Amino acid sequence: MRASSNIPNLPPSVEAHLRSEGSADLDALGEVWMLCESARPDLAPDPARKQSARRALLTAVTAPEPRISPIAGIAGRLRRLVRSRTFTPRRSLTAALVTAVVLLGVFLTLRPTTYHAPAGQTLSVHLPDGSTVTLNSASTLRVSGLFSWAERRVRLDGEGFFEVAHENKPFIVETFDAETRVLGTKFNVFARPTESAPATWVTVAEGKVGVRTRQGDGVVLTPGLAAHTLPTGAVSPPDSVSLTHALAWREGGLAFRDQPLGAIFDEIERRFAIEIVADDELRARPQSYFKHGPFDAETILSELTQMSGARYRPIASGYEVYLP
Amino acid sequence: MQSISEEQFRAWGDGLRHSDREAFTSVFDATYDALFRFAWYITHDREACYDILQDVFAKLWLVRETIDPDRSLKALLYQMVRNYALNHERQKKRHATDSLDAMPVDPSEQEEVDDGLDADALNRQVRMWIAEMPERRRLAFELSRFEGLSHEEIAVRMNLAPKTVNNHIVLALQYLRKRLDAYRQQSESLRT
Repeated sequence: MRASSNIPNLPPSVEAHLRSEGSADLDALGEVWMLCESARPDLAPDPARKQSARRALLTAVTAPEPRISPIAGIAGRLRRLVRSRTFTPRRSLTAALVTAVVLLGVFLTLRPTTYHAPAGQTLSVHLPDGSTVTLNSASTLRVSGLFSWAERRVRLDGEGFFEVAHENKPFIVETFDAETRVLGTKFNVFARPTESAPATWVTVAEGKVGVRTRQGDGVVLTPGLAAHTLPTGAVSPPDSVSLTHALAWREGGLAFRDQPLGAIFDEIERRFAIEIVADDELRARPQSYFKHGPFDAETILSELTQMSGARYRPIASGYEVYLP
Repeated sequence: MQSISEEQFRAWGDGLRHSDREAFTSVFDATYDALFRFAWYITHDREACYDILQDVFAKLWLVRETIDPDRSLKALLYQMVRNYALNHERQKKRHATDSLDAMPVDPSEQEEVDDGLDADALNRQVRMWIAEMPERRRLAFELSRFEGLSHEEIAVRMNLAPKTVNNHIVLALQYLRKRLDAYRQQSESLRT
């Protein structure tokens, strides 16, 4: 191996890391690093487009904005406006201002509350109507400020188990590509738009649940049935599933049927707040796995790798899984 | 953007919270180019970058009053660009499943072109190899190679552990090296 002064190509932090990993081929990697210079992209934005973007933004920013004034002032203006009946240009300006202020007020009331279960944790959320939502790790629930005004609407990114209190107002779980609508029941929703095959999965434990995609395709599910959205905007036909499996996460377990290993790794990453490094070929392999929880990450990885003929080793941020 | 101090960002953040348009303009002028590059590394699509930045700055003004004084404005900007850019990628993927236009060009077709110009052909190859890497690995590598960012800085931009950034970069280098070796062997055997 050459002395470090002979390998000037790698930046110090990369070189130091490679050395700590015991890489023997620093020269070759340094050459690769050099070679990549030819691939340096030209990334300066076009000055004319930047300028027009700047103009558009500054115009939007300098447009006159209504200030929030005391409620009395608004009410007075509204009364005057209604009494006058005729809308002169000046009055329509006032009307526009009042509308803007009212809209701002409505916006402030409607501002949603956000509940977030970070990686490595779950969270129980109690909603004002008596419903409960259990959030799996790395999941977010947004509840509108007007929750239960006309309908009970929440937005879910991630996975949650819903125990919805019975009421005549529908309870709607909005996900990135679909809506799940119920009156009162227990069901699980999984919706992670960052997955390699993003879809909303709905599994019903009790009662009756309607799932409808943004494109308008829909299905009604009864207990023990599950369905998921398809990339085409349709919903899959209902499929009977094991509830024990679908709800295993609530007890810290894992259940996957013919899923790519990558999806299982992603769930382990979220559940234990660690990183799992694996190449794409390995991540794409289909795998079934069921484990009653709770378990630590290493137990699961050792079983998974045994089943798939892979190996794993700890790295600082978690584990690396690789083929021997 | 590297050279702008956190104090400066804090001052701009204060300005924004008080709806100071001068502060907004300064932030735009000082950060646009760097954020544009960052968006490009995620999307590899210049047209999309203009849209993403427009959305980010419009949103920044919209949420100006709720900017957290304890959080770095710089980190917030990168986070917003990342979110909007990833959103764009997601939408693109969803469309790509329906349309054949978005199918990647068959690499074997591209290799045929200009076989005589070795250096050019190799450069094109390198560009393609980089583009073919898994997204997060490619992003970490490009930020390191072309932006000269330290692993810690990349970790903040990508919301990852520095150690993971290390792994991505090492894997990227080893992958590129494998491709290069294979490429050389292939051209060697073509010649003889």
